[in-house]
Amino acid sequence: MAKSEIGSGTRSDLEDLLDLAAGASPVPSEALLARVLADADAALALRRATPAVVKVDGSGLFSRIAAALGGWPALAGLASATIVGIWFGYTQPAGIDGVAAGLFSSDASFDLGDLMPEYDIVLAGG
Amino acid sequence: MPFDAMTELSDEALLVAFGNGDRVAAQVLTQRLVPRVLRYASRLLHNHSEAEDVSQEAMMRLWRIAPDWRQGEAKVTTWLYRVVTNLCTDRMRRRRWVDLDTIPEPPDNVASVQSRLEDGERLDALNAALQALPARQRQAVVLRHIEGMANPEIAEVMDMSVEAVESLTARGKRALRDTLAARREELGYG
Repeated sequence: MAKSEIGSGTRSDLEDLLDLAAGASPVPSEALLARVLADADAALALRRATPAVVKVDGSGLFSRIAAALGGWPALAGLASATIVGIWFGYTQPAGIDGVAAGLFSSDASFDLGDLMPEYDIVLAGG
Repeated sequence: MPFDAMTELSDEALLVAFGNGDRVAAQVLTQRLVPRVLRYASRLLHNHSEAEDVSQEAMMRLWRIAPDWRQGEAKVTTWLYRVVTNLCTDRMRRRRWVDLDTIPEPPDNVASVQSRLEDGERLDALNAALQALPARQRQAVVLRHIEGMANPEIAEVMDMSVEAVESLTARGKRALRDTLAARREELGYG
């Protein structure tokens, strides 16, 4: 080996030393290898003893319907509108009652002539 | 699958096989990976007993993650070196104040100073110089020049940019040269 190369900034001796270190692996003891394998066995045994967990990946029927409707925000709006509709149907607010009476009351009767335009208006139009 | 056939498989294939319950895959992985992990941990910690503990702990984590291993995302060795790096960093932090006493002093025997050292003694000198480096420099130098990793893989292990790795290894090697220069006669270069 050349003299004083480590101190002189030449790379070769330092790299030789590092190569020497790379080739000099500590040998794992049999006891260490046995402990590592025992851990592997324990991990296998634990896995066999633990029931598999079913993962929910969001690909079910309900998730697909929700996605088709525009996701959870759209579903929330739809649910709110449904609840308000049921509430209106159940409580029948006074305003809605009046409108319904006007439209569907048996007292209100219309004849075909009520829906036709006035005859003189037609004539005036030429 | 028999042991001999398994030795042809990649680390990742073996890990997946173990995740599916194959014990022979664990045997092959143990023989293949433990020496590398032990060598790396030994260089970082300079303490064989602690390096063995770290190696066992890292392999334990590998066994645990095997069923959930995502193929193609990372190399098994890269993942493992990252775990070892973190475990060693934790240990070095814990022993920061007592570590100075464990670094071997240069021999003061006149006869040994004048004689060329055997390889083992040179390695001891290198290890002592490595221990004198800051932890991140030591990790980068060991991964690059002893474990033979490429800079991009080291960057992944150390969770930093490739440029930062290059800077760390350059500074680490410069510091190693400076440290060893002070001992060049003992090392037989004088």
